[in-house]
Amino acid sequence: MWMKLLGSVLVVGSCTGMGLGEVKRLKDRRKLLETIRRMMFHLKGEILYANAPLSCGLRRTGKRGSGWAAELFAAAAEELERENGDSFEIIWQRQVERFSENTVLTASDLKSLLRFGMNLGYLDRDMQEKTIQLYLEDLELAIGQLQKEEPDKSRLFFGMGILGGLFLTVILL
Amino acid sequence: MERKDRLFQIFSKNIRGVLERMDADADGVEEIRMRIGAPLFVIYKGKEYAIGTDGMLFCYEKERKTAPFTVRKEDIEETLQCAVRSSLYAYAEELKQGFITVPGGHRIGIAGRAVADGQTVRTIQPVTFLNVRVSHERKGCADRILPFLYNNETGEWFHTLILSPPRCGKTTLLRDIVRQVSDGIGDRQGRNVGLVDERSEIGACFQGIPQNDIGIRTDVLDGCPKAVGMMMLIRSMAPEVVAVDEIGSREDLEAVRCALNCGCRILATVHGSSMEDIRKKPGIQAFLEEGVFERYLVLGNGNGPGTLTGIFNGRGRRIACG
Repeated sequence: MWMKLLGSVLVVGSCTGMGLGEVKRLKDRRKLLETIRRMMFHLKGEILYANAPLSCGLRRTGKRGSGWAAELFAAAAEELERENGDSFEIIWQRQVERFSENTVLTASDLKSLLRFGMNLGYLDRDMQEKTIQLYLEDLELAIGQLQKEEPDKSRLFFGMGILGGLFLTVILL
Repeated sequence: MERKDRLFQIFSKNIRGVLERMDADADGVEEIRMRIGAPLFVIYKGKEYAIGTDGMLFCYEKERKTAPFTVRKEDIEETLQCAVRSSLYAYAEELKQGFITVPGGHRIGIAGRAVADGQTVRTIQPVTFLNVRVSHERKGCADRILPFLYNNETGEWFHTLILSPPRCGKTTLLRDIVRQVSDGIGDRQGRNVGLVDERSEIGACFQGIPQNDIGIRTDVLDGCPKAVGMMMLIRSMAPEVVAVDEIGSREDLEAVRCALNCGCRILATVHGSSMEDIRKKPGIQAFLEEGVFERYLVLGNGNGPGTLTGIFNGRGRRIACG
């Protein structure tokens, strides 16, 4: 009897944990997108005000931030400074793919990030501003949608976690 | 990193491959010229060579049967992107003047279709011709002339003007004088030098950091118009010596006068090949008449770049031969 009870508690607990994990993932994704947005504003300042080349802009922006996005920026800057002959587009793509293995961002977020790197560095400052602006708009949309959906989805994941655990317990018993 | 590697990193992978196979010492390379559909030319130790696909240097006119490496449109586009590390926008102002300075102090001359806005050039797009001028630091090239540039009695540096035609080493000489004035020579105390490096040729600054040795007491205002820069430095950095390259415009000369009135010593260069040239230049002629500069160094190309033709005093009298 005690064993069954303990097993049930563990099943419900772990399923609830999985639900909470999803809730955290959702929250982390929003936070990361907000961090990237903040870093984009910084990068925009570096390019438009300080007229910094991409490598310097990315490195300095990376230093001011922390976590996944900061590491991505720093790695891209480092590779750009190594001057191996590849264009920024290729370097950015390589780094985003490398970092995509360990991120809370979705496939569409990563696609948007890759698209941003495709046009950065091309032509004049006006073009850089528009490229960053376009990506910022993408980010705003994604963040706005997440903010709208987050409370409902969080409740859903949490509820599904508990209910899924209870359902599994009933079946197992 | 080796000097050769650093220079070749400017180029696209394709060109880099050919240059790395080149059977010549990178230190002797003065220029690398790229034109779409034309051979890749290298100016090596004062002579022009085409470079073959195997990296062999040869005289194009004499050995027409040898297949040269031919520059493609992509080579120029990729080289430009590599040289500016995918940040062409950051070089927009320099691009308008037709050149950019890249890490290592190398200067890339650019030509192609100019996008004009009235009388001013907005940009050059597409870029179809490149001329990479390799930066050469010649430490000690001013050793022989430095004793003529300071007053033994007062210990003060003379106001000095270097005259030279293009590609005769006036910037290289100025750089070495600046370095030695700044560091100090023997028991002679170094001086605070304010250097206005409008075209990033002297200090070859990249992101504000000089890539060439210009001395331990030198403050650089990089990429700043000369006239404005001189006044800014005098106000902000209190230099004892102000150094500036290629003065000529009315504003430059006025700024030199202001610097003189502020008690600074002046080190400057100007285009010209003899003292006669100075007498013909309206602005600088007045300087000669008033005896503003106390020393004139005239350079030529007789025995290669940097050949000293003569040293003249403030009245235009020769005090030393080359």
